[in-house]
Parts: sequence; C-alpha cells; structure tokens
Amino acid sequence: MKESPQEVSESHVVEEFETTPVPERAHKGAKAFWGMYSGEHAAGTEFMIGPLFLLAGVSLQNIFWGLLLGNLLAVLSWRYICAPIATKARFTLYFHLEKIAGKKLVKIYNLANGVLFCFLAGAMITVSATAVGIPFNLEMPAFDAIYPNSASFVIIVLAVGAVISAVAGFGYNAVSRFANIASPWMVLIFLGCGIVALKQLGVDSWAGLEAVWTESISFAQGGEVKTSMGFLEVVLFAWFCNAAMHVGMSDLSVFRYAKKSSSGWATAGGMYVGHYMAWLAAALMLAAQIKLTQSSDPVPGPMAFNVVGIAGIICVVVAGWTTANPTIYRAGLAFQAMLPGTSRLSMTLLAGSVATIAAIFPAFAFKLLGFVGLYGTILAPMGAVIFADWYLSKRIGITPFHAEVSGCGVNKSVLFAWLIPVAVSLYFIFVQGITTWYFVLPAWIACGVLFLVFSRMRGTSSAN
Amino acid sequence: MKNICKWIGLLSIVVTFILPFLFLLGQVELEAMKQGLLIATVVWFGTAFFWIGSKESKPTPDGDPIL
Repeated sequence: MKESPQEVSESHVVEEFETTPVPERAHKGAKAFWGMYSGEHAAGTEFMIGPLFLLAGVSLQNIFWGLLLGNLLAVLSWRYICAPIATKARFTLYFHLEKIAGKKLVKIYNLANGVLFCFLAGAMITVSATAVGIPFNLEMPAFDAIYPNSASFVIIVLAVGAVISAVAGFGYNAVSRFANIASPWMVLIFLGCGIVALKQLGVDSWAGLEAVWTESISFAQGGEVKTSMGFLEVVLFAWFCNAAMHVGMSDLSVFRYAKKSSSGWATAGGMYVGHYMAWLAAALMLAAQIKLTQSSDPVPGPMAFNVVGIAGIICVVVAGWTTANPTIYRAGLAFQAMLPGTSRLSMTLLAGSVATIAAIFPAFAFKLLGFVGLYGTILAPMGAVIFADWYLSKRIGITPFHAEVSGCGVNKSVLFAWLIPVAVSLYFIFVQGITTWYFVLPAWIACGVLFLVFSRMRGTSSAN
Repeated sequence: MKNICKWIGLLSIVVTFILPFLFLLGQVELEAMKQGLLIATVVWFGTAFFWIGSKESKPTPDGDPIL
C-alpha cells in the first residue's frame, strides 16, 4: 500500500498538484519517506515471493547475497535515476509523460497499467483467500494448479474479492488509514514468522541451515536439486521487481514531494525490510512447513498459521487486503480515464471483478515471479523516455516535452520506442520461453535509445 | 485517553517483537507464543485506531502498487 508523503505525514494539504509542480511549502523531509517505504513494502505478495525462491531451487547463499546486491541496485536506481528528476521537475509520472508522449498515448499506457494492476490484485486476493479458508478447512490448491481445486475455494475467493472490491469502491480512505496502522505490526509479524521458522527448523549454524535448505529443495522437487535461478537471476529479480517504480519512474509521483533527491535512499528501508527480511522469513516458513508437515505447497495462510498461529492468518489477510485495495482503486482510475463519462465507482467495481476472476486461478499467484518480471518489462521502458528526454534531448537537438510544445495527442516516436522493445521482449518470453526478468533492462535501454533516434529522425518542430 | 492508548499500543508492539525471540531462546512454548501474539495483535489494533492517522485524508492514486 502506498500513499503520497502528504498522507503519511498526516498533513492538512489537500491539493494533489496533479498538473502543477509541487510547491516548496508542500515539500517533505527524508523521514516521511523512510517511514513510508519501510512499512509499505511488507505486502501480501511477500508471502508468495519468498517461498517461490525455495521452490525454484535457489541456493541459500544466492538468496542472501543475490538479494543484498539486487536490492542495493534497486535503491541506487531510485536514488540516482528517479529521485533527481522528481525533485527537479516535481510532476507526477502521468503529467510528466503527457508532456513528452501526449495525452492519448498516456491513456493507452494507463490502460496497460490498469490491466496489469488487476492481475496483481488478483494474486493478492488469492493470498488473502488462503488465510480466510483456514477456519473452513479449505483444501488449498497445489503449487502446479492452474485452475481452482474446489467449489469452496471459488466461493471464498469470490467473497474475499467482493469485499475488497466494494471497500475499494466505497471506503478507500478507511482502508488507507487501516493500512497505516497495520504496517508496523505487519513488519514485526513477518520478522516473527522468520524467527519462529528458524527455531522450528532446529538449526544452530549456517552449515546446518544450508543442509536443511537443500533438503527442503530436494523434497519440493521430488528428490532432485535443480535450480532455475542462479545468483544473476536473483539479483535481476530483486533489482527489477519494482522496475516500474524506479527506472520506470512511477515514483516520480512520490519523490516530487521530497526536499532533496537524497530522500531516494529511503527506499532502502522498503527493500531491506520487505524485499530482504520478509522474503527470507517467508522462504524459511516454507522450509519449516516442509519439515513439519511434508507439504511443499507455498500457500501463505497455512504457512503463517503454522509458525505464529492466528496472528499469522490475520497478517496474511491484512497484507493481501491492504495491498489489493489501492491496486484495484488505481486500476479503476485507469479504466475511468479510458472511458470518459463513466463513474469511478463503476470502474473500480469493474476492476475488482476482473481481479477477482483472476484470483480464482491460483496460477497467477504461484507464477508471481514471472508475472512481476512481465509487469516491469511492459511498464518500465516508459521511464527511459522520461530519462532520455530530461537528460539527453537538448544535447542532441531534440525539443524536450515535445507533445506539450507541438500539441500532439500521440508522440509516435514514444509510441514506437515503447512498442518495439516490448514486443520483441514478449516474443522471447512467450514464444521462446525465456525468463521475464532478463528483458527489463534491455527493453529500458532500447526504449530510451529508440526514442532519441526516432525523435531525431522525425524532427521535433512539427506536430505529429 | 489518547496517550494511554498510545503507550498500551506501543507496549503491545514491543511484545509482538519480543515473543518470537523468547521462543527462539526456549523461554516460552510455541502455543503460549502464538496466544501472546494474538493478544498483542488485538491490543495493537484496538488502541492504534485512537492515535494513528485520525485525520481524514484524500485518496491519492500516486504511483504503482507495492510488491
């Protein structure tokens, strides 16, 4: 869950500065950003991602060091790519992009965002449903399940999805406040899950932990120890799982409130709490579950219940709910932007319905590692357009903010610079079966370069 | 009232932090720890509502969902 620092600091500021630079009186110090990122990157998806590392056969050493380096690269991306532009331009991503790409193209980009948000929210609803189902003795779907395994699972998912969608439509503010209250508690429950799991594994040394870890992988993989993720893949995953936010510039919307670009370091709080401690804790939970119950299904509800009891179930529900809620809300706004004249409520409910239908299929949650890479591959390249326009356009004779200057609705240089690398990446991902997270950086670089080349070739003085 | 809630809430969060370590060190049983965490959870949510973010805030669609 994420709010602007306006909300985090509980200020009285009501303007959102959507079409104007954030004025100095609304600037916030680094403290607001440390609090926001530390608390809010411990989300429902963390319960899924950690265990998926174990099931992918990642060695313990590669997890510890790979995540350490990958998260550092993510922090550096926020600090040196996103935050400097945010604190100079002080625009939201959408307004900044509109000036370069044109209003119509931003709507298309927004729609892509909205659709991907729905699937992310779907994964979060699935996560919550696994916890809600425990009191009903719900039989959980297996790791390789694509379709729901029972009518009960479908009913619980539909019920959870309906509640989350309705709340996103009617009571966003209440959940936003609830999420702020829950975040420090959730971080500690995540930590507690890891500590208890460690004890349940019965290890007292690094070597012992490595041995248990390898045994767990072997059990999960039916007696073999194969890995589909080495050190490089772990680094790339950790670096790019939030690619849309840092190199993709989505967090321009957040850091436009920062007094200084050094506030970008605050993302370290989120990365090393949510994407290091919480992922490790969740991975250890699965290892403990394998040892105690001989089940390798990475279903968050039962895993959390095994280690910390009912508090764990509450944590899974709350983590899934508080992150799915704003995701559905934002997807609704994206759909509303595409369909002028529709109400926000109806579009939020539409987004919630799509997310709930996606949640019925557990494969979306269990394939989250790949989906997160896909999300970055499609959305992050637009950040390269902003980066190239900001730093390089004047140097090579291109007018910055071309769409604003020319008044065009679709800047074709941006459109093709975005579509070509994304289409090539999708071909390799879906046709050739290559892992998604290899393509985020190449697509980002290609998009930036193509934008400059196309803009230079087409000239920038005429409306396009 | 607000101050009392704040201190009780902070105490519950400290308990949430400490209990798993006590279990790790063998000072409490698993079931006792789970019950303690549940009580601390109820106390935290019961008290935090009175002192965290009580001012109304506008929804802002900034940024992407957190993963």
